[in-house]
Amino acid sequence: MTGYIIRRVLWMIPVLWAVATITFLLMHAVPGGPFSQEKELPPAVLANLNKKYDLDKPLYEQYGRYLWNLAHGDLGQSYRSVNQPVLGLIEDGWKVTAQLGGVAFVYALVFGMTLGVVAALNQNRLGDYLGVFFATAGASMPNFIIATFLVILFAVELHWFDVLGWEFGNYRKMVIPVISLGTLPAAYIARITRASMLEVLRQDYIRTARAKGLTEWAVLLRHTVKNALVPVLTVSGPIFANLITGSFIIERFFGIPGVGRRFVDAVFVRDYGMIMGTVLFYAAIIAVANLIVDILYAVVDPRIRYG
Amino acid sequence: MEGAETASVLEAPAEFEIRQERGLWSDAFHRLTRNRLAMVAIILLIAIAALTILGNYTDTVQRYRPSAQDYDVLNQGPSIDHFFGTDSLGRDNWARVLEGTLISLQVGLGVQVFVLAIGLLVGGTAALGGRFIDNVMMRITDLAYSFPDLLAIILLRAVFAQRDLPLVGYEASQRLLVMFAIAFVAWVTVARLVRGQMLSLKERDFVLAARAMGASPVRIVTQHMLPSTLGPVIVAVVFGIPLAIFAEAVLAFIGIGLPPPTASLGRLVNEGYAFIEVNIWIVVFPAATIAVLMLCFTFLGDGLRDALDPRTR
Repeated sequence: MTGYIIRRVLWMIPVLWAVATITFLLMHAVPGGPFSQEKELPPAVLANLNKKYDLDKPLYEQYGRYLWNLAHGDLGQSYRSVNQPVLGLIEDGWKVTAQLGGVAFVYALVFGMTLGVVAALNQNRLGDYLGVFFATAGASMPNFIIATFLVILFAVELHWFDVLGWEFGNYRKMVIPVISLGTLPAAYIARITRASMLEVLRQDYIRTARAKGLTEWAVLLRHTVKNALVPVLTVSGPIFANLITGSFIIERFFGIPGVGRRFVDAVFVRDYGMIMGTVLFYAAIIAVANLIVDILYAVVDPRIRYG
Repeated sequence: MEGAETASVLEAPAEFEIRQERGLWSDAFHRLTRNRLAMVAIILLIAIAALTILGNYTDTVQRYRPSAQDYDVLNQGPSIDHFFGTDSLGRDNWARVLEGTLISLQVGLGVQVFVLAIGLLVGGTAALGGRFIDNVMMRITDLAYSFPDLLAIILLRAVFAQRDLPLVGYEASQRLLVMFAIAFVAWVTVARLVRGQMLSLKERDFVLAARAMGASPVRIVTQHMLPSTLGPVIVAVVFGIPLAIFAEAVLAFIGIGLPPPTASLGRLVNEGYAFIEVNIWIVVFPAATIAVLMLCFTFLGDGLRDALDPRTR
């Protein structure tokens, strides 16, 4: 197991290198540079800026230098926010994004699994149809559309919640962003939970548990739900990664200063340092989330052994 | 007497034959028509598509130019004169939503054309090109999976911004470039699917039989293998449509979609959101249109999957 984890972590290095290379090339292919603006800078100032950020050097030299610094854990400086290291900016944004994504993740898990279990226990009855409809509809509803309707209903008409910014612990600022972001994964989780519950309910050991006289609750909690959750676990990694990388829309919608908004802003002004930093950060999150799930998978299901 | 008997004898096999004639496709079609949600989705989609095409090419349905401003009617709600109301510059929301819907449909379907082309090519080459090519191609798709989708689309769109394609003109090249940006990320799923299908088909008896009869490789691939991969590929492509519509809406929503004054649905939501305290109708109609489009294509995809996937029978 330890060997497996070490190999997986080492495998992340070439992946991140490839992501860095592709991003580097794409970003330099974007028309204009970090310092091209509507109102052009005097040539002398531009030359000095380019010199300060090594933009006057040939591309391969900039690339080599970036990789060298990256290997030493240095993501460089933002090209737009003067004298701010990229790492610090990402850290600031990550605090907010992690709170938003984390709460939305918990909401998606709890709501989605409850819905899936209830739907499976009422198979082919009204509760099931409602659950399946929600799962299909929710899984194809863009988060900013959900956000729009929630804002109209709960902020414009009812004045229950606020729609600007983020404050951890202040429910007025949390409810709408979390529901907007978490509903799609909740629908997805509900679908998987329902399918896996139906599968487990048909197993022989469930009949055995009932036959030996266990109460229906004990059968449900200890034998059915516990086993039905393994497939949910396997998708929870990609779902978490999706929540984090997809939250930039919600962050933009509600003016939440997270990593995603910083990435989008950086693309607009071609802030090379921030673009590289945020994309690498996201790629690392995806890789780590998948790794954690694979490990958890082995912990939960004793049949799985990694050599 | 004898004649009657012959008739009844003839009748029975006739009925039998009808049942036999039902091949994979007509069977799938029958299963699809029995799926109520999918049928509702198809009818709605046809209605929306007809209305959109009429609305963009005839004045009677469009009624106003999408970018025509009328300062006497700012921020109005729905009325007989303006079905969907007007926005903060007095533009007719009905005409603008129709224009946006056309763009969404164009992008949703157009992206799939590119996805199919790239996916079939890459997937097919990986499956049939030998181990080395397969390894290289699959590492590329692995990489595409480790790259956050929407971020890659945003970066690609920024790369393509303000560029011009030859021959087609500025307006059309912007639409094509938005499709390119999305297709560049979306092809991976289809490529993997085609590869998996082709790899398993390659070992099947009917392919071996075709080869033994001396069929050329081209003939084996196009006549025997491609038709068998089609079912899952169609399902994947239909499920790809709402994702492409979503990606385009996101690009427009954050402000790097099609250049103004083109009214894409995502841009309409973004603009309408700024006036949500004044007039909710500006944002309600484009948002609802995106939702309905995505729902319909998803239900259609669900129906097709149930109809075409032999495992669900």
